[in-house]
Amino acid sequence: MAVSTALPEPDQDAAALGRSEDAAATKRAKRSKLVRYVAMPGFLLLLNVATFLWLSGQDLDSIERRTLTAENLIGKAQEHVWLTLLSTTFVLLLAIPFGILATRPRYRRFAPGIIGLGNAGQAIPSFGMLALLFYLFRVTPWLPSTGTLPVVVALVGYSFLPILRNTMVGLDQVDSSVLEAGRGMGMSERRVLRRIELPLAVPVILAGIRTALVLNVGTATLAFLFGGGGLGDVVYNGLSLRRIPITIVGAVLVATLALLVDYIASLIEEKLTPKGL
Amino acid sequence: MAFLEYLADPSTQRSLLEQSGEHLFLTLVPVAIAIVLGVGLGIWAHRVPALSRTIVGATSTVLTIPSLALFAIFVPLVGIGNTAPMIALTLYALLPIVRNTVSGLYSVDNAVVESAKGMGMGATKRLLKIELPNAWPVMLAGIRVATLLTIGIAAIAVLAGGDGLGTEIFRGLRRIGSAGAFESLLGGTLAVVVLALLIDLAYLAIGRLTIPRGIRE
Amino acid sequence: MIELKELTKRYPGTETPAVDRLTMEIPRGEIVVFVGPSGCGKTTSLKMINRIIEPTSGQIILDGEDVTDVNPDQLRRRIGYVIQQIGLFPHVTIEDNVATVPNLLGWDRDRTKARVDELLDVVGLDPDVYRNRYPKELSGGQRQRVGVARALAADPPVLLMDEPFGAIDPITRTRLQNEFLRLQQELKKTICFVTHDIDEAIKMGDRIAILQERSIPAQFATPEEILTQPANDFVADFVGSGSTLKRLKLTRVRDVTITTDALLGRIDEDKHVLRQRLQESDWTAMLLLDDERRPARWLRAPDFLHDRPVAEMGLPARAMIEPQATLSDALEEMLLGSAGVAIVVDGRGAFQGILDVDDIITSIQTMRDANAEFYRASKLIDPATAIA
Repeated sequence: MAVSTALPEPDQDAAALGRSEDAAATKRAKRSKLVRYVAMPGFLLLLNVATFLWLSGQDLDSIERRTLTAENLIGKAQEHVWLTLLSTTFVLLLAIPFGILATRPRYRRFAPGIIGLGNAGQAIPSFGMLALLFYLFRVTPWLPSTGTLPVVVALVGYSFLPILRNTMVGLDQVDSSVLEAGRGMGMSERRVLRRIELPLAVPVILAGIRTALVLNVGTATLAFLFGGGGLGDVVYNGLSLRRIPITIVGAVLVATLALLVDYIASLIEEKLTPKGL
Repeated sequence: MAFLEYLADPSTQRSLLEQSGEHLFLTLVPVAIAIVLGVGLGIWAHRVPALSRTIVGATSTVLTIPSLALFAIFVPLVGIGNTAPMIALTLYALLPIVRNTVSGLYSVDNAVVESAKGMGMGATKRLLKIELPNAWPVMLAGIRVATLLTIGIAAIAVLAGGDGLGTEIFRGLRRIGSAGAFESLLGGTLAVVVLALLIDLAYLAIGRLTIPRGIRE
Repeated sequence: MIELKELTKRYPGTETPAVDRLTMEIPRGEIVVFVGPSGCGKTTSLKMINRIIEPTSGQIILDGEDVTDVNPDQLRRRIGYVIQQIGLFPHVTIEDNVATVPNLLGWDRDRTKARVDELLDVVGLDPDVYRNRYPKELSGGQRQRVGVARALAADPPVLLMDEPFGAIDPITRTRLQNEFLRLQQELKKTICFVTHDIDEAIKMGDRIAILQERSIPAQFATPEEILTQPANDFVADFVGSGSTLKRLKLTRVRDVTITTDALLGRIDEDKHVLRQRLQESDWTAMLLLDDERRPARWLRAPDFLHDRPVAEMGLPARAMIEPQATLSDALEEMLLGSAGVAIVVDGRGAFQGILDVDDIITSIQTMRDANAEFYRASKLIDPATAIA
């Protein structure tokens, strides 16, 4: 049987072919990575520029002009960011240690109950829960009923269960065989936690931070209902006063802030996740 | 207890029932539309893997936008009322449905699809008779999540001029400091929770009825 | 029959084709086995026959009809397809699974139902029990039976099988192989069978194609020829050592002379009668049969010293084989049984005769003598011309 003579020179050419294919693939991968990094900021930039351009073409009445000053908007944005950061920090300080504790062998039996509660809690509307928590604050005599504290507590209260649940589920997924190997080598429970579980849990925690940030920047939009200010105030103003420019600017700014926070959080998540995970 | 009195009051019951009906409408219509769109997008994304990242990315971006803002964006287009929230709610419900349609289709055992192909089943028939039925449990889970998501967010529709149970909650909020505030807050919130639980049970029943015995867990 | 003409598969971006101009004829009614090392393209070749993988070039001719370009879905409804992971549809019943192609072809309901029952019966599954079950309720072996039934449902003349028994435990696999061979004797389908297991190839194949890389056939011949005249070193290495033992797989029990006059008794006979018969004979052991002439127990003289009922004396008779089993199976049974012989029984289990180790050795020697001649002559044969 005649063997095809069209084969290239054995190893040399095949390797060269392989190498050039690899190079092309890497270049493609690099390009798509660049696109991914630039896509969101680029989109946000375009969105805001477009809104601004549209706005400058509008005839604004006095109310609109007063509301849509840079000073006012920046102030609202600052309130919003501040609320987000505060509530996120506190909820993480509470939920992550709690989550670690709840996944310890000693307290394992409570875990399904807590996760179930967290699942059920998803059904509670943010609006209602925030309002109830805020009300509780108002009603309790020895708790301050004005200022940002009630709002922050309400935000923390609302995001606590979801973050706790995510943390617990994430920690559970840390490979149990790896843990067993650690214990098998004679590591104490605390050592296993520190040396194996925590490093492996870093991605879980980073994801939790990102989720908390996004969740809170969203619920902080409703902070204005409780005297907390924030960009939601601008949006609601626009809606209740039936002023389209205010509505649009408010909505675009809120969306931009939320997407920006998510974007930055995802970058941090990516950068801080140990390689190999 | 004041809350029980509140519940016993017929005018409360009337408004809660009425608002629950509105709330269901606010929830189920967007979900229904999202099912049609989402399953379609999901099937497309599954067929064209290069597209799937874009589609899933776009829908997850939408979910990151706070609800009040997304409601507000549509108000200039369709005015104050229920329509703007409902458009936004449809978009929110898309992500879980698209994502679960894609992952559900991927979860169908390759051997099953290949043997169907090998027996001469055409592509459309394979999709309808083999792939979708086997992907259905995962898809249904996504639809369930989408519905629960929507029920929660729909409570905010009142802020954009819509109705639903958010009305009662907002009523309570506006009267904080005076009597009846807490009851309205609690009443509205609990009603949403009850609605969510009922919907959840309905999905359990739907699952029972529509998932073939052969693939039930 | 199936004709493959210059069948080639080239994947974009690679220089060398996965399958390079495969040309072969699969005779009607025969099982042709494609066997070769991983990556040689045997599965790719198989899948080009029903165009699950479309050929880059070449032709497929089914019973004189060129099917290279016809509508693939319609083509596949004429070809049975059995794959390793089986691929039963988990969401429908066994009945619906088997009825798939008949439904695609538009058969009416009664005809389909009757056919499903018939096929389930043929593959050894009671229709009344299994018809409404779901795949997840069946074992691996049962599922593969359903897979075969499903492939045969529309009575296609051609069957393609890709490592169909690969995912099953060895015991069930042997049983399924035997049953399938029995089925094929009746159905006489044209079958293309892919495996990586040379032993399975020898057992199942009427003809074997040993494929090298790019699916280039190193040898295409009957199992006997492959074992006795390997075309080149590749084939010889692939067949492996222990070819003598492998050759035992080529001879069936019915082809050798077996001892039919063993010392027999009936399990319901009187103990003393049996004892007497044993003492008076030259045999050291007696085989007791039940009232349907099925072997029950082995008795030796010392067994009579214990005072027990006849049915509990001695050792239970094991190591039973049917005439279509190979000598290799027989040898294995002999080693496993307690008596050092294999009892030959018919399809109902009734006693036919005894096969012992000497019979097997004689058979090997006969084969060897026949080949000694052959090897001498084969030095003069050019291996290249031994390829079909």
